Amino acid sequence: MEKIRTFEEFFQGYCDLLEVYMDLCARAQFASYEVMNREARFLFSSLLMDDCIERHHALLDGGVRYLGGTCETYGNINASDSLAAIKELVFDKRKYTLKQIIEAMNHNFESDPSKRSGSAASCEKIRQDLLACPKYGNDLEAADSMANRLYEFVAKGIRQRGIDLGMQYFEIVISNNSLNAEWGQQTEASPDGRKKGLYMNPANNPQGGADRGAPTALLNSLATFDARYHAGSVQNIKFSRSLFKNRQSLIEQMFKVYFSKGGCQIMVTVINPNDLEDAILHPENYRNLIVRVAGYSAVFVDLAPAVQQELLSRTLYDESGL
Amino acid sequence: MEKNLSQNQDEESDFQLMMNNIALPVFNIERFALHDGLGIRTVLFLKGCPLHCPWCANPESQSAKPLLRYQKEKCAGCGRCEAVCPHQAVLLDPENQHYLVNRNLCTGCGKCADVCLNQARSISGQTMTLNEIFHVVLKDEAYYQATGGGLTLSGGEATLHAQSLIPLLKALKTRKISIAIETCGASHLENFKLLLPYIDQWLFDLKSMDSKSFQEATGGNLGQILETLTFLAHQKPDAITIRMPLLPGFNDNPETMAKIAQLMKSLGLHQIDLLPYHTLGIHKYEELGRPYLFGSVKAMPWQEAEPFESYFKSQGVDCRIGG
Repeated sequence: MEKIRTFEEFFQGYCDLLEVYMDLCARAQFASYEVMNREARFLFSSLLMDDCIERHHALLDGGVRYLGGTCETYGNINASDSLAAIKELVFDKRKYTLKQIIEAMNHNFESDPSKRSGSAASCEKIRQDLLACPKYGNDLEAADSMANRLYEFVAKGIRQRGIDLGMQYFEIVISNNSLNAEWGQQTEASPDGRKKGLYMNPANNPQGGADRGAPTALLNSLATFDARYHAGSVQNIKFSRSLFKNRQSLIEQMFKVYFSKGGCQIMVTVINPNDLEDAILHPENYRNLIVRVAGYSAVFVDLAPAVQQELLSRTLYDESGL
Repeated sequence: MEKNLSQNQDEESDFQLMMNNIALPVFNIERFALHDGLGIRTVLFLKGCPLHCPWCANPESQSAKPLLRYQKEKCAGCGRCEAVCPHQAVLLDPENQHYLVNRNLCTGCGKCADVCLNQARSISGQTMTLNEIFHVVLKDEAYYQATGGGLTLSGGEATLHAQSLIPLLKALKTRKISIAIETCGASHLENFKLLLPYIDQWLFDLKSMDSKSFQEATGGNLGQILETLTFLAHQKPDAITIRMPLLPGFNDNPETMAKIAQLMKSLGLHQIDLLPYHTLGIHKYEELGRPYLFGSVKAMPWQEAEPFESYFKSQGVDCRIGG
């Protein structure tokens, strides 16, 4: 750790680590096609897909015109927010060393009983300083450009590895469904200030609670990524019923601007403040409450608690009625 | 007659110099504002106000200086603030184990806010250059163009900063961004003359038609305010919306409404927004260590404003509750 002098060295080291897994993902995907082709030729599907008949080959045996697949990514924004925080606190402001941050994280930002009493406050102080660094979702250059840099590295890298192996359409997908919440339970604390076991960020969206501004700021952040490099992503926004109903035409115009800026998709939830909180307490009253999770809708009261909490953490835009 | 190239370059660099060096005291910039003019707007809240209305919902705006806001319920009694205060303005209340603020010594420097782990302390008001403000306002440019929105100047009393604002307003006008302003009218007429060419919508407060009670409550000179309104009405009557906060016991009576309706008709003004009194700003007084002087008046329900809305409409004045 002490040998890393600049952020660029740090970022490069992180990319080197990612490349190991990117290689593994692409090779595993391709290998799975080899196994599948050996064990089950998918002859019926082959009849229905170009160019199997013309080429006289089964689906995964060189028959299909575009061989591809997807590689799902999780915690994208936790990672980029973490990189942005490390850049600011360790390398730009030199407020902490990497070692201090790692130690704080290894104790889940809580006090270590073996040390002096001062450490509880300083762990929490480190966490608060990490949390205060620019976060994606607020239309801030520092956080959004880091998110885009990481995204393009992974997206283009996966795609190229696919091409190198002979797959024409192997791309990342960023939809997460509910796994960002479930896997977050098994994920350690991260340098964006997130504590151990907390849900990770959902898909292309900010970590729950990190976006603290207006919907226009959120939409500007969501439109950061070039959709050409992925095979699907999820972007969420939540409005209260009264705001959505009273301001529908303004909201419609706002979405049009978002799409013209390159936003590729938006998932809108309209719900009253406190409905979700009340549904957790009294599920019997909300048997038909449907919410958007990611690429699908679900009955809210049937979702796992960790997933419910993650849905609750997503910002709700409401009018104060002033 | 053509200007030569170097003259244009000089003007441009002077302009950039102003944008980078002129600074304003800002206490908030609110994006996606829907109640402060047309469309989706960004509201720039500037510090400094000549009035001291007892019902003010943004008391932190009255002073142009940065102020410490302190929520004692969040204080954990750790004492980190006392240790860093350069002015000995933090003292322990031994009974409650809270740290208190000595407002006579506190300068709003913010060192205590930096070390507080419970976010009990924050500084209201930061200085921003015109360029910094310009770049924040530009972030929603596309949304303004799509909805007829733009920038709304507010505060505090934004017109106090008229001279400083001009380069920013010029810059926004070259991008064809609309500019609205919320004003109480209580500043020199010169400020309004300076701003006039750049303002597309005036949201002009009228809180009273009685000079004496107005002066007692707010410190303001009603005559000056009406002079300003008259001047603006002669220039751009269609660009003016009167905004009347409905203050229970102070101005929510038929006589005041009648006088306002009559004034509006005589000046050719035909748009008024009624803003029912609310109590959402009261907690800030305690955070600033100030007493709230408008008593324990309850927030006015929407329905109570409806008779006044009907009255104005019956007088041929377009009226909305809420704005």
